Amino acid sequence: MSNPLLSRLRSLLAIAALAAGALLTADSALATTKIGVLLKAKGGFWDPVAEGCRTAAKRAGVDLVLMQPDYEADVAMQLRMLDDMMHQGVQGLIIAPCSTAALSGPVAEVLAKGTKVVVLDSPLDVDMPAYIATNHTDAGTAAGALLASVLKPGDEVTFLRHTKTSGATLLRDSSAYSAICAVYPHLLIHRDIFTGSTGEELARARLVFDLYPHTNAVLATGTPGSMAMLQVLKDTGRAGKVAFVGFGFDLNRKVAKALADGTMTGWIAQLPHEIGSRGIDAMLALLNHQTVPEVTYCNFLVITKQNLNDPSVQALMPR
Amino acid sequence: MGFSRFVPKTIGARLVVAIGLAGVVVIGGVSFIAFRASRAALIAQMNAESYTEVETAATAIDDTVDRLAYVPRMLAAYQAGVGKEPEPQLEYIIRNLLRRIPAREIYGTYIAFDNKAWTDPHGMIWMDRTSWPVLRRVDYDYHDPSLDWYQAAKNSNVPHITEPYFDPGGSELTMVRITYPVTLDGEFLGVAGVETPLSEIQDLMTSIHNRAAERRTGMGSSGYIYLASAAGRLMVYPDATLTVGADRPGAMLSSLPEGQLIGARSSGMTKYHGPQGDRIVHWVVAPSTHWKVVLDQSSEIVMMPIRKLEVNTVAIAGGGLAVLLCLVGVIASRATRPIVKLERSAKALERANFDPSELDSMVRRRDESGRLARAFQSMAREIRSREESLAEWNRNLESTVTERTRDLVKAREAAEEASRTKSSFLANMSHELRTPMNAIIGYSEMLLEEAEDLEQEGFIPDLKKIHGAGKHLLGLINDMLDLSKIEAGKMTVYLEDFDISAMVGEVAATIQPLVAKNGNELVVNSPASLGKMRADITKVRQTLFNLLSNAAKFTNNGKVTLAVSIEDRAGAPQVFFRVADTGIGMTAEQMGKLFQAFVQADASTTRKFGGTGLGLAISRRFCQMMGGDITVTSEMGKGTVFTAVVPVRAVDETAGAKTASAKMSPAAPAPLAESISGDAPLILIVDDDPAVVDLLSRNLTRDGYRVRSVMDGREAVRLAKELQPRVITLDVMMPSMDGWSVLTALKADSATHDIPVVMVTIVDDRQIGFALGAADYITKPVDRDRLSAVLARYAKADAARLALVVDDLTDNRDLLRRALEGQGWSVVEAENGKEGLKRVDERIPGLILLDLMMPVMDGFEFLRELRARPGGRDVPVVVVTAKELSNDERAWLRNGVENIVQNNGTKAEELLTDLLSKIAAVSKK
Repeated sequence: MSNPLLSRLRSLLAIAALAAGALLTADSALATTKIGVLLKAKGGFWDPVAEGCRTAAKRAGVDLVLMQPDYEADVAMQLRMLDDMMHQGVQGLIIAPCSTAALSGPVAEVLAKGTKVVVLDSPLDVDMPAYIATNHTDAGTAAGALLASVLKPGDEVTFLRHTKTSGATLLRDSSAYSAICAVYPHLLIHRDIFTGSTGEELARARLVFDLYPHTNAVLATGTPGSMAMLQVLKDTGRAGKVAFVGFGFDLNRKVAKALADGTMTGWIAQLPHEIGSRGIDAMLALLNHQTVPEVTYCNFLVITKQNLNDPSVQALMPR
Repeated sequence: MGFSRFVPKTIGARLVVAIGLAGVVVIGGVSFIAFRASRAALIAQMNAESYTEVETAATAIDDTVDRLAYVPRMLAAYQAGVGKEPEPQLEYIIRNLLRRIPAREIYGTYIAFDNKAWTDPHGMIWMDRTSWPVLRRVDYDYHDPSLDWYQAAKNSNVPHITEPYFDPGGSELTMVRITYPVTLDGEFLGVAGVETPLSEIQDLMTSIHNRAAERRTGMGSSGYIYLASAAGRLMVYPDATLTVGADRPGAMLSSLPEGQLIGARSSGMTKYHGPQGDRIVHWVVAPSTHWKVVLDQSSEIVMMPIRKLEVNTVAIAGGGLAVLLCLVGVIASRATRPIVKLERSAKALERANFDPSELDSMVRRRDESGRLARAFQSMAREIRSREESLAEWNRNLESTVTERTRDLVKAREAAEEASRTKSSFLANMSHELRTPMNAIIGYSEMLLEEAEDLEQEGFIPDLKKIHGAGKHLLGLINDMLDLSKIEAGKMTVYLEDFDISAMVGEVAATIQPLVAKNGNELVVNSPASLGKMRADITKVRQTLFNLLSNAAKFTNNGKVTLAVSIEDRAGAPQVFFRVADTGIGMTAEQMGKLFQAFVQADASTTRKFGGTGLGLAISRRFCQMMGGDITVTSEMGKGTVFTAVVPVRAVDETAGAKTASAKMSPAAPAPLAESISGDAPLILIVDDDPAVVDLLSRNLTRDGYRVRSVMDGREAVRLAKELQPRVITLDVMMPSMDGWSVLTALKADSATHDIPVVMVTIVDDRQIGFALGAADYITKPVDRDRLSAVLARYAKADAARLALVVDDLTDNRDLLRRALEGQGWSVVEAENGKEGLKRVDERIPGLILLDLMMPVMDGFEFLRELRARPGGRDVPVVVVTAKELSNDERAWLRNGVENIVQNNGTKAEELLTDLLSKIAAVSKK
């Protein structure tokens, strides 16, 4: 379990070194470079992404135009922001599109004008020079493997899934399920409870034990469900008695405490700050006419009680 | 209300109707045939287009699926080329495939390895749009035999297409899988496949359908196209609830209208009626996918071209017919225009104001109308020429007629002159013939009387022979003259009322001696109740005398019967005088000649029985003149019956030339003569014939009158004024001043105005005599008895028979005066009531005839004044008036007058008859 974490840390350091080298070799013209960053929404996962962009931009000494619609579903706002951004004369566009269908065309026009484009999180139907996203399949597989490692034959597992239409969480579900089944092919696994995103996460979390009271292990594939399940486990006195793996990004004190007291078996953390930072790095490389991988997977951390106190993990804690 | 009522009245209209009907038949027939052919072609085209659409869609679907099937074939080939184990580059290959193939065509692609567990991260190399750019892991065991995408591909070497399914794994799409087996050297390694959203196929079908519909109808979709899988499950359908979805299995084709038929046949066309109305369905099966492509269209819209064809056909046919009718109308109008023009010209010709130049435009034409116009002009010229000739003839005719008329007038004048000459001749002859006869008869009678008085018995037989021969000769002359007058139209009828029985009695008494002469018995059957008849009594009497004398003449020792009766014939009462004898009788041949003048029944008859043979002819003409006739029946040797028929109210068949005064004949019994005293009435005889004067003087003296005579007219007038005779007898034919002039002078002089004048003349023209004021009329030879009776009537009149006529009209006064004088009255006249009162004051009259409407003083005032006088209270008054009396006036008059004679337009004759009857009634009182 430690090797992957160390290897990822090394990768981060290597990238950081590369970025530093690039900054050092950049000519003075980059100092006037203006990069536009257009994210899906404000808050949650996207604020750390924005922060990662700012940090990287500041480090590289480029101007940053950062825009975020209030809501992820506000496609129209994102289109207006895109138009506004392009009028501000950015040389590069980093975009996390709200809609593949709605943004593919406009972004293609941006590309046609010679503007460099880096796509974050969700793909576009264009010839994307650089695409940076989390590998949810691997994250799900890691979560499944972690949960399977604490199971025993005859246990009963229940998935508290996010939504039926969330591609990322579906990938996590199926990967985790496959990983568990690879270890315990005949284990009873319930996958029919969805928290949704309607504010009923807590009730849905309770429903896990209402419907399947013999559940020994729970996998929550979305951040809201994970936080709700923590609460339910404590409320129902199952803390420490039911294995629980949750998904989220970075690390917060509640999760850290649950990991520490055994309420949570593991926390699969995305690294949004790193996504933002990598986006700036990829854009700078493109602007410098350097080769950039078409696809860059953003790492995630599997945080357990064992590595909770690692500096790299603690670095994820909010300051 | 016959069919002819609807037949057009003009040639043009008939032409239009006829060609219109023919046009309807021809254009309608052609249009109908063309419509039928076009309709069939349109339907065939519609079917062809519909089939083309579904076939195009099916082909496009097959092509699309085949194109997409290239991906799994390529993947399978690639894997087979690198070995049995999953090739690490697969992730990269798949990622790049998905980057270049639009998501709407392929959502995901994979290779599932048969020798790997499904939980193995390398068991199924799978990436889709949700996981891109990373692989995703399968969460079910794809080796499951129930999964057809794997098993079907495993068991075949051709691409397999799954039934549609809903993908809950992030895409939320309904898709099909196209899978292809991965084999290496015949060994099955796994299944390569792609996930194809049906939305792409749906868009493809919709695009094809819309283009086809646009091309077909020009107005967009007329229906919808849908797709069913080989198993009959709806894959693409307008109603999404019938397709496969998140929580629905999708409907089967068989559940749709005609779905079973569609499902059973690979292709076809059918119709049905659904909630959307009549629908037409075409379908085919895609050859590769075996999917069924179905086109469901609105019959109304699909058939719209046919509807348009119907409308266009009707419009074109109608338009063509309308154009045809217009053309025919124009042509007919142009064709009939010459006829109409000729009609106007004919009317102008009829009104004689035809101007040949009106046809100038037509005559120059070379067609039929030109020839017709030229013929018309020629005819018009001919008519004009004939009219001019006719006018010339008319002018000549007028002059000819004038000449002929002048000739005729001359001829008429000559004829009238001849007639006057003839009349004058007759009159002269009558006079000349009768004058000596008067002398012969008169003197023979006187000689007889004197011989008897002187007892000269030896002269008596000879005198009787002379007297008899004279009377016979006079009879012959009278008959001859009567017949001449009849044939000359000079004989007149004098109608008067008389008692039938009295008249018959007189005749019987007169004829009795003659009947008895041959030993015959006269039997008279004449009921006293027969009453009166109105006829010419003289002619009736003469007729009876003739018939009775004939009966007596041809009967010896037999019986002569006179039977009188009144019977209806032809709706009017007739008096039948039947004279029957038991004499020799007649044969039919003799009867046929009986009424011919101058012919007796047998030539020997004249020799044997004497007579002129004129009597029966004259009698019959007399009866005919009164509206009657004479018929005869006879049997030889047994006797003969003559029947004279005269209407009870005879009509004057010769009427027209008579005047009202002519009818005034004495009808009332004459007053009896009084005894002669020393101052006997003076009679003035006016005649230029001394013999007549002598005879009249002797007779009148014998009758007790004083007689003065004068032979000159002028002297007669003077003497009349001087002597104031009681009566004047006046001859007509006198030298110096004829009787008519004398009469006129006497009546014009007030001194002689009231003296009755009795015409005694050979001239039988009573009409003139009475018109001039004569009191009576006696024709010569004078019947002594009649003369005595007439004179007695006038000469014995006394003051009690003085009548006053009060009327403002002279004619009326004359008429009434004559009527009164005819009744023996002396008459004084007054022209108004005031004058009338003066006359009353001078002498109280015995009778007053009073008009009511008069100037100065009317009749009513006169009556009041009259009744106020002591001597006027008892004077009988007869009102003679034309005034329409009211009931009050009539009632008032009833208290003061004896009677009222209403002169309301009736004939003078009737008026006088009525008046005289009322006067007679007054006289009796």
